[in-house]
Amino acid sequence: MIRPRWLVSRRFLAYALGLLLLAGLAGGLLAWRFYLQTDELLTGHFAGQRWDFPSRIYSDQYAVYPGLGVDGELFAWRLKRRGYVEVRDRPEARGEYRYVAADGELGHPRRLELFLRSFDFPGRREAGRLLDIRLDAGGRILGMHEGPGGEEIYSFFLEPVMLAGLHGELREDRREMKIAEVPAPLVRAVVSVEDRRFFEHRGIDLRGLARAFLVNLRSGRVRQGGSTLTQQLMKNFFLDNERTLTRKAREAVMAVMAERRFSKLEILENYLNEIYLGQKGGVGVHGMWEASAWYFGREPRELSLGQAAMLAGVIRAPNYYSPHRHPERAIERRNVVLRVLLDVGEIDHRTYRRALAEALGTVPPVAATGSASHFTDFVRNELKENFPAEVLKREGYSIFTTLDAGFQHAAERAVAEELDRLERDYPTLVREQGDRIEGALVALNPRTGRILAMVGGRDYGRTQFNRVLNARRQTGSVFKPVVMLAAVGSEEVGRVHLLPTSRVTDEPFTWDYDGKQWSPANYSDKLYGEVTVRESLERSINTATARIARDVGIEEIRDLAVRLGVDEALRPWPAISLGAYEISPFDVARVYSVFAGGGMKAEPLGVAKVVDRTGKVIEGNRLEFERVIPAVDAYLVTHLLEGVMERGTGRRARTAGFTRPAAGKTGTSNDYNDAWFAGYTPGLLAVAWVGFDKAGHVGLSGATAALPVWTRFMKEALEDRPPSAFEVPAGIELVEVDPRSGLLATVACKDTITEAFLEDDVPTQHCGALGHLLPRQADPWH
Amino acid sequence: MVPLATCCPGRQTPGTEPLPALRVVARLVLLCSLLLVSACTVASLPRFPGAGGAAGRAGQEAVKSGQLARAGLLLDEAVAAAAAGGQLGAGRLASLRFVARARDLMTRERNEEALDLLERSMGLDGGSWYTWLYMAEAWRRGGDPARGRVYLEKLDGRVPDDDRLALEIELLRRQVYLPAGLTGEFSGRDG
Repeated sequence: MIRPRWLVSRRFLAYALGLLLLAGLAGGLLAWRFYLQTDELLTGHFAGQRWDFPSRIYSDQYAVYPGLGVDGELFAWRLKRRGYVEVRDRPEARGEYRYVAADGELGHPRRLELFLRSFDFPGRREAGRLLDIRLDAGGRILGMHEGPGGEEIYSFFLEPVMLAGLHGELREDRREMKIAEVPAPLVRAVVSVEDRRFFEHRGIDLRGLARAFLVNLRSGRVRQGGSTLTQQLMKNFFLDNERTLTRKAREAVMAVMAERRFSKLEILENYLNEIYLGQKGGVGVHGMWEASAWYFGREPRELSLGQAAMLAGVIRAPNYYSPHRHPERAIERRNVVLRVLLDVGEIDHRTYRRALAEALGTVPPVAATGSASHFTDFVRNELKENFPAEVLKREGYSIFTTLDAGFQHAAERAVAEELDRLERDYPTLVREQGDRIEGALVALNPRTGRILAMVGGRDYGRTQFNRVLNARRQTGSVFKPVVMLAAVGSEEVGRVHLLPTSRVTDEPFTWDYDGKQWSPANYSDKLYGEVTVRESLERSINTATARIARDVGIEEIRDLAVRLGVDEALRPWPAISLGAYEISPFDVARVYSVFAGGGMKAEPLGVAKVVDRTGKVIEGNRLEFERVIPAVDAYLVTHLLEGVMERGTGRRARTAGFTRPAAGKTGTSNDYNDAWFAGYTPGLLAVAWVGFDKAGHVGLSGATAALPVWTRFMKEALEDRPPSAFEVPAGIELVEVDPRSGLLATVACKDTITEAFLEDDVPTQHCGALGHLLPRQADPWH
Repeated sequence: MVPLATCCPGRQTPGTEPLPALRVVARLVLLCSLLLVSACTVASLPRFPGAGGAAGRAGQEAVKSGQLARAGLLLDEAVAAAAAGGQLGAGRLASLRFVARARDLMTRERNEEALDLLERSMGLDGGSWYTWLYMAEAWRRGGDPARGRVYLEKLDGRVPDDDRLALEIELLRRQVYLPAGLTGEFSGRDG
């Protein structure tokens, strides 16, 4: 049967309509699903953590007080590393300083005018202020005032230096800023050049699109995008950079939805925190806060109009208009932005002209990486128990350490340049296999245990092995002060009580122990005959030291070493008295810190505080002390070690110009494989090691290879500090004695030496003509 | 110019000059007197600013009567004396000033900041008993007197024959540590 044609058409129409309805329904469902998904995406993203904030590792702040030198090379470096800029006129902005040559009114030869930067110290905010600092002829601070004629202050702190950022895979640097903190000129500049009708449109700007279309049509190429700030934000948050219609459509829909969901200010805040604004090495600079700090060394609220305009202008092509790399392009772009601001009536002509005349005002880019790398590895390791790496990469913690950035700089230079010099002076140290001579240096404040510098090797890029912590090497004579402590210390540390003036022979001998025999030999095979305990240490005489160790008892020496911080695995073999035991430079520093710290063992401290993004301290580490030996015993060792510097194997430091009160000891291991120097002033202890990673013959003594590294570091690190002498504790008497007889000095003595004694040990007899009539010490050991 | 003959007439009249030996003896006596006076002057200087004289006695009285705050006044005197007289090194003076600021922070119950400054103070001057005293006090205020005990030990070993210091330590021991249930014996290495 043939159906009428109209009936066929109606049925077809019905099918078609049905299909259409179904398609519409499906489309509607899909659209609804898209809407719900997008809405969930938007709300989830805005409500949650939008970005990963890298945590930052900072050095310690630098305390400045009267008496400190502030015109030396190191202080200049400290300012430069923090991005301070020297100016000719009076500093007017944070981060500027100048030295004033003379001031007749005040009667002081020089002044330093320093405009401090603002910084959020843990628990305290430095707002940034101008300081007027009076200096003496030697560049040391006489007094300080807040501004000219302002209130007198007695100290201030330079902000910490950022040592490293702990980034995630994206490698973005960003600090979040609330919209209320964004200065109005910056908002006006960004809105004026990027989306003039931002406060009027609903996510997409049809007028803007039409204008962009016309501009592009006229010019024959894409000159304007027509995307609103909201669209740009959607693209950055959720989409890629593909130039397709689909992507543009999604971007537009999402922008409209975002505008329905969130306020204009919320969108603007996100935009200003999200936007990419340049590159520091391998790390992207994101957000206005970070860019402001990176380019101008300022917080956004401190920006001038010109600087705000420049940041707004950079958005279009951050690397092309980079104020660091292309300052002339950056200025041109800034001027365009200023013109727009003038045209839209945001600024008047006078303000416009003033902003045009502004200097660029950028601070030199300072790489945050590349220094203190071994130390920052150490810090990461210290933190990993409480703060897994993923947390550190995301949460934006500020990790304040104890490192002195200036000391670290001095230490890195000392290790690198002195090792280079050694290779030049001793060509046999240069090996064909590429096994370079290595070095390590660790410095700490023995009063507090705070780690001040750590150089784990001469080139972190080549090898990340941290020799300070992980290289276990024989210490050689660096260990001898432990023997001396057991020998000359009070009954608290040893049962055999010798005096520094007691005499001992350095004749070769054999030490029988556990059925074995050990025969110590002198470093140079030279025999000195009978020497004092002091001389045996100052000249580092092995046989004499071993004799002392035998009489003191090797078990006692071993126990004492463990008490000072050497690990429990130390076995009581006679050879340990000459340092035949492998420990790290860090452990050597711990042991010496007891001598330097007046008998207190301070737990080495690297991480002082961890602060979250809100400024709350979430981990704080305080100094930890334990008294392990009496102060008098620590001082006796220090006094012996001062002699090493003045007359013994450390005197090369004196000829190299290091004249401060100091105590220290050289060390050279068997076969000249390791060269050491461990020494300290009252406030700074450093241990230097030089050797090959693979057991190898350095062929140089500690005095030749390690002492120059130590000396160079100490000289540079302390150049700003006034010298101070070691404190003599109660219970110690310093008396002049005849070094040969150990008796009290008289005018008849040929030579005299100042010797430290426990109060009860002070000699009562005199040397010289009258002394000969009196009986000499019957027992040279006591 | 005044001629030599006018200003020094004795030189012009050899007949009146004393015997050379007597002259030498007289000069020696003069020299010794000068040396003696200088030595006495040096010896009479306080070992530490504020430690001697009226301030020291007042300090002892205050401590005896149980006023720890008196130590704060002594600290102020020490800072002022050091700043005025230039007796101390720069590091020690800066250290004392950090202690003074820490003390002020402690009175405003900003104990953590006070501890920060006291730690800085220790870094600058390891031998300042003021630092140790306030460090112990800061830990007590922070609710952890046991951690402050090590600083009392430092005090104990540092200047055991200083009357005022001994009294301060005794005061802190009696007032602070015994009520907290801790032993009052601070000598030895049991910290």
